[in-house]
Amino acid sequence: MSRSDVAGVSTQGYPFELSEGDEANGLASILAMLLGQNLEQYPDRIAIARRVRRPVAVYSTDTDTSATIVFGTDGATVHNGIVGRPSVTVMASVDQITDVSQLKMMGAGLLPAGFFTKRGLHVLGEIARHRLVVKGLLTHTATALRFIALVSVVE
Amino acid sequence: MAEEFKFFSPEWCEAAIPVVNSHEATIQGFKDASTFSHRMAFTCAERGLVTHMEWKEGKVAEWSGPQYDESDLWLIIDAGLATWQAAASGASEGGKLLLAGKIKFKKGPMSAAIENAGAFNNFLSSWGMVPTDWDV
Repeated sequence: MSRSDVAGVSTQGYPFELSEGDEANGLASILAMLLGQNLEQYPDRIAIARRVRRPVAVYSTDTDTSATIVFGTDGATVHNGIVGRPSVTVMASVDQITDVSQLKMMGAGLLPAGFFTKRGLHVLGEIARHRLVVKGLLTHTATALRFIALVSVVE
Repeated sequence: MAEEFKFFSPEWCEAAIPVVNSHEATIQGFKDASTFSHRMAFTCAERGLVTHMEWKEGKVAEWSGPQYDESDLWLIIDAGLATWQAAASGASEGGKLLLAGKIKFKKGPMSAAIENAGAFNNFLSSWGMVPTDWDV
């Protein structure tokens, strides 16, 4: 199967490949599609992706599934489950993932402008109450912010 | 007892239009209903069922069997019968079914699903108000 056969995965610039192919879980598939489409629409974010040097994992608390994104120089691979030693792990519900991906990020992904909105303050509140957990937020802050910039659907 | 329509049949689609268009939670769930004008397909490939619909400014203008070229479709969304039934009954939300891999985006921007997640979830649950014969 060629990259172009994989729905939603960027076919140029900075592709996201599913390591498990057709056996990818729903979360991995959605992340690959979202990230690939975002980088196609906003190619300036490719530089942000290249600066994420450690894996980032997402655990969907509603569906009890996880996926890990390993970023490289020319593309990324999305794995089922937790792979390697992610520096950042986001543990969130579907609604929280939806909220986080609508936060505007600026300054090469390091300026979280979207946190200063009603939705952003809600996300921060969820983090403060440990309902939304971002492991590595304090120790790998840049990676966490860059990842939010990559999944953000906001220009 | 109200007549039941075979799921995703032309008659079911026709019956679903007024249900969806009067479903306030769906309309309120759009990021901007006034600009939501798109053609899309909802399918149940495992049963060979394909429907095409057209939204105009947040309202369903048409919904029936296949009628548009695939290139005209903004979204193509597929799921198994049990998944559609679960979404219609409200047992599971569309967003959760999507992340669980039960509902699949075959074509279209994920950003649309994210920005209109509220409308998507409520749109699917409104199907539960359509008298449906799920034996297809």
